Amino acid sequence: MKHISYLFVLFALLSPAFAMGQQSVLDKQVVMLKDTGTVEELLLEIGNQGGFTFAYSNNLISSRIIILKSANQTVKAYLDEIFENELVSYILRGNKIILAKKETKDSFPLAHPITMSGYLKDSASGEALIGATVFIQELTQGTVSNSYGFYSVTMPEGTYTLVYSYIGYETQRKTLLLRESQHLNIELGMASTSLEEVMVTAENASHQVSSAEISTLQPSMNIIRKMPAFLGEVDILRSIVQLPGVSTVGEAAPGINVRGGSIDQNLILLDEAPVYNSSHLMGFYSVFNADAVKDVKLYKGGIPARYGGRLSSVLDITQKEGNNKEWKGSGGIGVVDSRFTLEGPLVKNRSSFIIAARRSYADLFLKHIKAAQVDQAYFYDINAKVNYTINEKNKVFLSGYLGRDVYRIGEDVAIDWGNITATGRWNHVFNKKLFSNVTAIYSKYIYRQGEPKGIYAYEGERSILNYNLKADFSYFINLKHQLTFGASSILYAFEPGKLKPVDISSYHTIDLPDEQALESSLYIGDEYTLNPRITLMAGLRYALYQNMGPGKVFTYQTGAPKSINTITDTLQYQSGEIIQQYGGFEPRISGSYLLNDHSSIKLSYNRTRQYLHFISNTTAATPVDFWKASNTYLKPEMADQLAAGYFRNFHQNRFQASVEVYYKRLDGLVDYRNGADLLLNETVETELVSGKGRAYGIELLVNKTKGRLTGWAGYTFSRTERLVKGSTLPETINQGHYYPANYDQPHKVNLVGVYEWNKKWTFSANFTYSTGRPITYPDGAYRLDGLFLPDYSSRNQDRIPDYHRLDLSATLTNPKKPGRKWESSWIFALYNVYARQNAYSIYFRPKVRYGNFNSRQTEAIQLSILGTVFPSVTYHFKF
Amino acid sequence: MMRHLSMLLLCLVVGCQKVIDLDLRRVQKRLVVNGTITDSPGPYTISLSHTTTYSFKDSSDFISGVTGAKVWMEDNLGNTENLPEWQPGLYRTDSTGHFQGVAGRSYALHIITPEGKHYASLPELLQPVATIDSIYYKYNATEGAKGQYTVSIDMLDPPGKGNYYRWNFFINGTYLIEIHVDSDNFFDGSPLKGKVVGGWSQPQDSMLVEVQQMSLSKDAYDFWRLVDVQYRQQSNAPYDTPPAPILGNVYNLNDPNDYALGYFGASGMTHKKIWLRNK
Repeated sequence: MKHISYLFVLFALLSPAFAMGQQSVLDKQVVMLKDTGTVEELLLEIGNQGGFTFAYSNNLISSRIIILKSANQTVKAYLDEIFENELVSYILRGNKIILAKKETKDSFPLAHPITMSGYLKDSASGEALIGATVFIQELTQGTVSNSYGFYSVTMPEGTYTLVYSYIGYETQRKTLLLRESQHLNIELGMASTSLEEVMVTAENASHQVSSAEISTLQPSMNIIRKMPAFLGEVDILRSIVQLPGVSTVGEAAPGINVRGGSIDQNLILLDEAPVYNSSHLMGFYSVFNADAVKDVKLYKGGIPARYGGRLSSVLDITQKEGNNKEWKGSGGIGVVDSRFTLEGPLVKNRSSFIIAARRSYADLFLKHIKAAQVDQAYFYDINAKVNYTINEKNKVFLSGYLGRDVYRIGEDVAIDWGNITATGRWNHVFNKKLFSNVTAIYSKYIYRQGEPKGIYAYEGERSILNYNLKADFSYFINLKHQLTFGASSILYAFEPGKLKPVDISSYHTIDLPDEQALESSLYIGDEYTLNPRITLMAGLRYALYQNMGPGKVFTYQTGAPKSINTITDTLQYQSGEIIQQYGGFEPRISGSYLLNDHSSIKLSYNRTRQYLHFISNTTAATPVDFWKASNTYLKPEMADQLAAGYFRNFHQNRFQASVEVYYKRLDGLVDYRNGADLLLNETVETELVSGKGRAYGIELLVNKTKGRLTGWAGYTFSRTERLVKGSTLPETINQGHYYPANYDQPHKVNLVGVYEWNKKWTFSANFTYSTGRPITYPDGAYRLDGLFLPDYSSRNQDRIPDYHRLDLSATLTNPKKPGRKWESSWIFALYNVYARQNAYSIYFRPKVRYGNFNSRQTEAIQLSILGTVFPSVTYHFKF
Repeated sequence: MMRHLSMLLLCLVVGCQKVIDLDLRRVQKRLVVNGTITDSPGPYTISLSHTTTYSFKDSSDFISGVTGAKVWMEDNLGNTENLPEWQPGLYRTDSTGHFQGVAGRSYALHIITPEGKHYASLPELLQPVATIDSIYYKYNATEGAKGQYTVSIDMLDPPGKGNYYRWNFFINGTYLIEIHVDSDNFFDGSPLKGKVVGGWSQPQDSMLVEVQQMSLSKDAYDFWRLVDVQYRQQSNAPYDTPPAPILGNVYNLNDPNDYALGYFGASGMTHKKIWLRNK
């Protein structure tokens, strides 16, 4: 049958009448004498008036009466009207029009392609499901929903079984006879655990195995919420650190290190707005309120072309949209803070909102401890989001975040900082294949510090502000090609620092000149399914960075180390004038080869560039540290990463396992001259040196996302080293040899398990082990002006003891009383169960610190933070 | 500032510290040079020694001086002055004091060690320094067992950024080992009032306190600032800068990677005295 159709088409194509007929017969305007009748009657009339005949088999023609809208139209228009909703094709042979039943699948060239598109949503809340799979069983191909839950698949018309699935949700199958493009929204219901245990998914290889996505982690929010948390406060960044390839320099350290990258090399996006300081309470917590977060995705490599501006990773955090079916509230009372979330429909099925807030209250207790001298010490944050569906094609979102940390301790410390972000988005579906999103983003980070009293009293402030406008398009061409492209422009305004004297201060006002920069980028990417085995993701990004005036640039004597003594000239730039410009292409390629239906190998290459630098030379970043834009002296950073992986699923995809290796080369990294003075320094370039880096490693992960027991086991071997070889000795670190970065921790083991014992009890455990981070021990001692001093001549050549810790938690869910909406649970958690005093640092001091300065006796001191067990109880409720 | 952050951290969580047993055998042997020429009358002393192991238990091991070196100073006009060995490891200009630093000239130090290695400092410009306008003290009875005296000065910084200061503090002629340095970055061209330059907690009936005010070059300021930071903040706490070598200005002329620790400075110097009377 198939071959016959092909031959037929071939013949038809070769026939000159075919080409002619297209013009002459089908497009011929025919005036009919009657406009009502059976199909047979009408066809006869058209033929009579038009001067040609029809050929068809009788089973094609129904005997119903048709009333035509008009008796004066083209032949094609008549036929379309008569055979509306029927699979009939018209083929010209000379003066004859042959009517044939269209074959659904096999007669591909005849059948016109149709597109199924729509949104995937959670049936209970109406929340969009990101990365849900749409699989077409007959074609053994599929797609995933984008970050707005939109999906689109294009295939020849026919009868198909579409399988819609999402982790933790019940799979839905729809067998549809598809003759024309359709918009179909699918709502998936959350799966109950017991149901999932018995359910066997008939899917072929899961997306995790088959897609070209590599080095990407999408920890389930369900597991993150149930993992044991420090003092009961669920924290996304702390949970992510439990994954292979992600580490931190210590427990109180803000930020994460991904595959040997520093903390500023992660693009942290909250609803697409960059977050410049992700820490609350110096780094104990992150700024993301887990109650307001829907989805978290971390790209350690294989970064799609649509992301740019950071070297090492992208952490894409999507806030919940808010339940659009019913009003819901939830909250918690914990040791650290209390929080409350409210969500609900504003206009049913069209508009919903969510607002989540939390505040810490450590200060309420500390205030009563006189020795602590704490006047104020708290943080709070508010997340809010509203969406409105204008129609099937247009949807708008407005989301915002406001967070603040405030600390006032005695007369010495007055610090506060915070992020404000606002994102406005407009989703527009041009047609069933072309999806667009236009985003406008405002993001501001502000840091204030002061000393209220005395001759050194001051108030200081610095900030970073950016406006971002971008447009992203997804073009679902067909099942083979899915194109993404877009453009973005970010305007940065930095206020690097100002200082105002207060009280009886002898300081002067200092106001470092503002800095401006514009980062514009274009990208295009194609996800190309070459055949069912091979998928390629190829992308290219180009970014143009411009450091703009007003501003001044110092020129330095050549050949000498940059210093305020070697300044030869000062160049002034007018407002809008380009001071320095950088740019370059960033190719991103990855591919997967499916070995069989449950395993694949993948490869990727990534180039990334970064134009902003985080200036911090302390072991753990502090809120004092600041961001600086590339300029005449501060060059952009660049990284190349190669990664390869083997992916395999076991037991009907219940276990997902992967092994990945990577090698990364970094260039233009910012390092600091020994003893650099960075604060309020107008000539900060004199304190900075440029370095190279290399990082490599192997990561093993077994993930279980279904069933009563969920969680993961991970092992990472990784090395990350830096090289700083300047032209002069002060611009060189470690004699110009590679040295381990502060966060080089070769071995890391993580075990995370969540077990739902019954409806009432859930238990979870978290174990982590890692090699101690590098540290510098003295390799000599000397005396200077009577002071006995250690000499540290090579950097990071020693290590603190290894780190390990076990956390446990138990959740008691109170059964919901019939007829009532109120649900509550208690979470009991133990952090650092066996109370290990993990070393944060080791330092040295004279045995008698003050007094006898001639003493040569010294001692080594180990500093531990959280060196004991921390129990906590948290009460959760929802209604 | 970092101290404040660490304080904040310790206030908020249980940080705990314990003495651990650690054996550091590694030693990178280096020459240590220290001394300053000023525009006040000499003699000027240069000390030479070597680094030793950073040991935790052994207090008998002495830092010994380098004897038998040849040491001289040189100014930008080509004048040289030899510093003969005065005591083991200490080299001093002529005690008659005919050699004196002059503001506006640059000075360099040269050393040839007994092994024949030639070290030289980068030239240091001797800049004059402002006078101390007043010196006064405050007694705080509540601090410490016997109370605490703090000595402060007032001075006027000349206009133009780039003035760096060091203050030395003497009680009855004895140098108190404390480093006080400052930069005019935050108070350029204006009076600096109430600058604390020293303190004393063991009051005697009367004490003669002398404060020396010295000008520093930018490099010398950075050097002493780092020495101070590294000495006082040996904590290596999370919010501290990791320890790093403190590069001075003395290098081996024949091996650019070989440097000496310590600093050879050239400073303008003024001073003021005050009698502390017991309350």
